[in-house]
Amino acid sequence: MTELTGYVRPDGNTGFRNYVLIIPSIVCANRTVQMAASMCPGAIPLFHPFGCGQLGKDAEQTFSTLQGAGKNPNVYACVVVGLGCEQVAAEEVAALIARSGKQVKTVIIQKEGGVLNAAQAAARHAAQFIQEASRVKRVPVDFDSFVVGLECGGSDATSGIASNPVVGYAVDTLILRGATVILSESAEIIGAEHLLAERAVSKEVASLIYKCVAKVQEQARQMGADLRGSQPSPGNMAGGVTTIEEKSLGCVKKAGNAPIRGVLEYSEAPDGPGLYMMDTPGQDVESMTGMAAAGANLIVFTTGRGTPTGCAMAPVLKVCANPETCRLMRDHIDFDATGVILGSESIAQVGDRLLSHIVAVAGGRLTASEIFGQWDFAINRIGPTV
Amino acid sequence: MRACVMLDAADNVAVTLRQLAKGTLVEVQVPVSGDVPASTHPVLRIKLRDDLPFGHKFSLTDIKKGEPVIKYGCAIGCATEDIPEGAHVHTHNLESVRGRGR
Repeated sequence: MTELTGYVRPDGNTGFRNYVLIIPSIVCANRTVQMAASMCPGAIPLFHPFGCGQLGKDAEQTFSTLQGAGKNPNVYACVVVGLGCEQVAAEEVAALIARSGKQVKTVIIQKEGGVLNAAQAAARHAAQFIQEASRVKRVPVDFDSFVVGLECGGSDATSGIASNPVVGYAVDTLILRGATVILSESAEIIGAEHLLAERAVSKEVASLIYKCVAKVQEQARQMGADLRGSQPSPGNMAGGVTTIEEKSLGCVKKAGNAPIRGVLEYSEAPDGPGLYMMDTPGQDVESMTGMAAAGANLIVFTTGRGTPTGCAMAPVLKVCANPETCRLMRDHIDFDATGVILGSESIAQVGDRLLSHIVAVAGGRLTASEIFGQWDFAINRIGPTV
Repeated sequence: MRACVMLDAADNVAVTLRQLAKGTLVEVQVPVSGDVPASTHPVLRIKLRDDLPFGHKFSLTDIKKGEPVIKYGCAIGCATEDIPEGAHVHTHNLESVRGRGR
């Protein structure tokens, strides 16, 4: 493992990238954000269909995710674009992001006199931030600056046998060195929750783990639906995964063996190093968005069938152990773990290689999701539109 | 390259590591905890009753209808019919017991 380098932010957190984001606080600002980003291609535009007509905790979750996205330490600075009459006010989102000490500019479409003026103003702010960001120097940082989010998508039989245990091996080492790691996707611990609960640091944390699972099952019941229609997905099944229990038992292997310190709500920041579980949906982009809005500065993503998804706030490192997928979907796979399946390497050997790769990505090595501009962003919605 | 992997000594299914044809006699290494030389691991010899795609499961023993199917040392669901040794175990004969909405 080589030295870890990053960018230390004013709030003491460490970023491994110098992204500049243009964030709409409301669906009505999406087009403006898109136009601004086309004028200033070095900036990353976020898009979402929310920001008005939301109730209570659902409105709060949209708000906390947007401000968390801006606060992510991989983000050097950001521009927040609002319409001017929305529920999730751009100025309020910007004010919370500014508490981290980073620069934030706000552009309001109704004050600028329309989309053309607003897009130009947002692009001009972004351009200045990008120029400034290019002058910031990387410095050596400790492993306690790492907040690694764990995700799996397009799982197949190789995920539980090889890629997830390999990630679990790397996670155990990262935690020993002081990193923070977040396991996500409540639906994908159904059938394996007892194994996680046994590792909880307290009875309270164990009961929160069971609560996450009970919530997903209750949501399915309220819809009069059967989780089995969506979990496992048709692709999981074609790949040999038959039931949600089987998928989950494989999924949780990526969390290694460390004690579980706490259960986080969607987009809630962890309050110290160690292993956490976050209550996120099994949909990959919503799940990664929740972890990155909580401060995850790198995401390790295992896949069996292959998927292009990325994250607007963090590099996403794709790990795959399916030899056919590594060939067919090679454009999207960053790390080849097929040695475990082929019998040519042990889990520990591949895990050590993965640790070096994680450190390299933190140090600036680009991932496929970044190269292809997969700046995916999706806020988890928990209420109706009114 | 191994033909299949059994993940836990308590399992009643193994997973293929390549496509295997019906009638193939496969040797399944039973995992042993601790630092034991691989040559001393117990081995099961199973004749496959079905064609098996890569990554799919087959039974290591007869599994009765309603009995749990065990992988990773844990239940992954129940058999929906009697499953003879060496048969493909998937959605046609294994069902989740979790997440039922109705």
